[in-house]
Amino acid sequence: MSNKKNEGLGRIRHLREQTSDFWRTYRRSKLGLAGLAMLFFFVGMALAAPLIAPYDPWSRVGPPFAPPSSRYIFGTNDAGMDILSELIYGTRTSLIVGVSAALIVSAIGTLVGLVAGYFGGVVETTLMRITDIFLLFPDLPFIMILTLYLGPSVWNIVLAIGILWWSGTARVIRSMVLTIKEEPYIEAAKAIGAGNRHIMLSEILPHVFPVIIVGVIRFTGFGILYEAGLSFLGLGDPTAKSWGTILHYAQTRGAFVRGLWGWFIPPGACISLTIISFTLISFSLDRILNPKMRRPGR
Amino acid sequence: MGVTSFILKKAVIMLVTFYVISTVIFIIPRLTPIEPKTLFADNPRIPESIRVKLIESFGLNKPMLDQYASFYVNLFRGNLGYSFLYRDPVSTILMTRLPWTILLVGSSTVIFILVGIIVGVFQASRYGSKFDVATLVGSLVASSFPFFWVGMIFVYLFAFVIPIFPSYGATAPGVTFTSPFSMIEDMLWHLMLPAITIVIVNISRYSFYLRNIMVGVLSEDYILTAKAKGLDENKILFKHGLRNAMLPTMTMIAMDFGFIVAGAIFVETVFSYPGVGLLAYEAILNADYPLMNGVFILLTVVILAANFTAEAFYSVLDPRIRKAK
Repeated sequence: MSNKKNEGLGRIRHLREQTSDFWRTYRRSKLGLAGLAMLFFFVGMALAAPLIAPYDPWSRVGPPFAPPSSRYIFGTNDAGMDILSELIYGTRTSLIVGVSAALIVSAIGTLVGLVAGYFGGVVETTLMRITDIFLLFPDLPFIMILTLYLGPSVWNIVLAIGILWWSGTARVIRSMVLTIKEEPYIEAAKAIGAGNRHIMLSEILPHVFPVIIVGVIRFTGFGILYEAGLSFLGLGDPTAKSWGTILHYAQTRGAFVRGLWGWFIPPGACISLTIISFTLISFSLDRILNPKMRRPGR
Repeated sequence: MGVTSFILKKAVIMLVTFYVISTVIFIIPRLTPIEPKTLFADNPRIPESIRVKLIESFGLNKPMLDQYASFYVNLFRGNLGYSFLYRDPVSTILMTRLPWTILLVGSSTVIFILVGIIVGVFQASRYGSKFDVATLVGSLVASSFPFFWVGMIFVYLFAFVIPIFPSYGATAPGVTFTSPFSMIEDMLWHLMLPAITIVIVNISRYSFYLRNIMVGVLSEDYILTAKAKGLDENKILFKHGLRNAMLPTMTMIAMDFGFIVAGAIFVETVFSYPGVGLLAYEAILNADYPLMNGVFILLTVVILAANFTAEAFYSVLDPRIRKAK
């Protein structure tokens, strides 16, 4: 019992060392830090939405089409809702959709890649053929069709992205597994009688994990971009507050003619900044976690 | 593997892919509680004679398997049903809209690929310099802009604040042109903003990709040899370097077609540009099921065809690809 406890403590200590090592390297990347700061800003905004939003974003709090003023910093929309409050609450939708879509994508992609790469043969061929088909699936039109038949909903978007985007991850993971499984330590694990599941989960998975992490962060950015795009087309949940939905109403209810820049500049800027932050983080992580990808300076 | 058998294999894969995707499109509407007959034929906007013909030709009153067979028979005849919104056969509408999309997407794609390649090559040749870092940061920012948002800002700035470009459409409405030149001028004038939108968001993705490949290519020995021979720097970059960086770039373009198509849907919607992308938006907005299915099938065919063409070219140009896999 105490032995096990010691082992646990040792692991935690090891993990802590690794984390501080990692942080020491990450800290050196200015762009990575900038990305992280931006991400913290948006996560904070999502968590503290009820505290910092000046108004309830779902109710009419002023005259419709009010221009930006000290009372309504970005103005109001066609229904007299405060756009700043909508924007703050919209952060929640964007982050949740992005993260959950990215998790589904990475989970499916990793599973398919692991199984295909590890078992090889017919299993691999079949899975890779399926992957090829998904790689060519026209994703945006397909999600539009799904929404048309299933009704607009944020979760339909998450699900559709999850089902459609895993193929790239599966390919990358598979090719990594193909190399890893030839390593001597895998043979050693087999020799002492480790089962397939143990080898895949405990021996191979940790080695592809860095790639998965970078993938999750990258796909979160894409997911946010897609959710915004689909909501902009009017395919999002009309009652949910989302950056894309705000832009949808700005486009269809005449923000341009009235010159209400506060209605469409800030939501797009939020989308762009979140995506930039995820790109910066994944870029910096990639260089630390996947050192083989580091390019030698010429 | 020889070129012919490689291309044949790819063709089979494309056909299977098309079969799978079209079957999915057949199944999805039938997973809803609404009857197929209601989805594709029963609409007050459709004349009775056409309604009867639709039910007959698509077998909408028959069992599922018969419907499945009729679906493919009609597909190969180019019969995609009848649009509720436009009261015309879907295929006819698609054919009138497709040229606009080809004009918009084609012209902007050529521009962003060319500019992206040139920028990428110069970035790689000045790797790590101020120019490299500045353009890299610039392209990072530009590539995170959503298509539709860039479009909206352009509409606001150049059609409302400074009204020098039209805010919607592909031609001026209700104008009869005196000469073909004034018509082309009008078309280009309408094309400008949507095309620039597509170009701006896409350039950076290509320049970034090309930069990374070129950095690798430029560290090869034969580039050093060329430099040692005292060849002109631009000649080394574009003739020796770019040639080898072009092949992976071509695959990128082919794999990217889905993204380009998605971009067209957004941009056409923002600018009300009457292409296939706007058609998809209209179909969704009006619950025009046959029209949306038709758009989807057309876009699938376009994406698969583009991909196949690129792979075929690639296999002819680079024998290594045929050995891989």
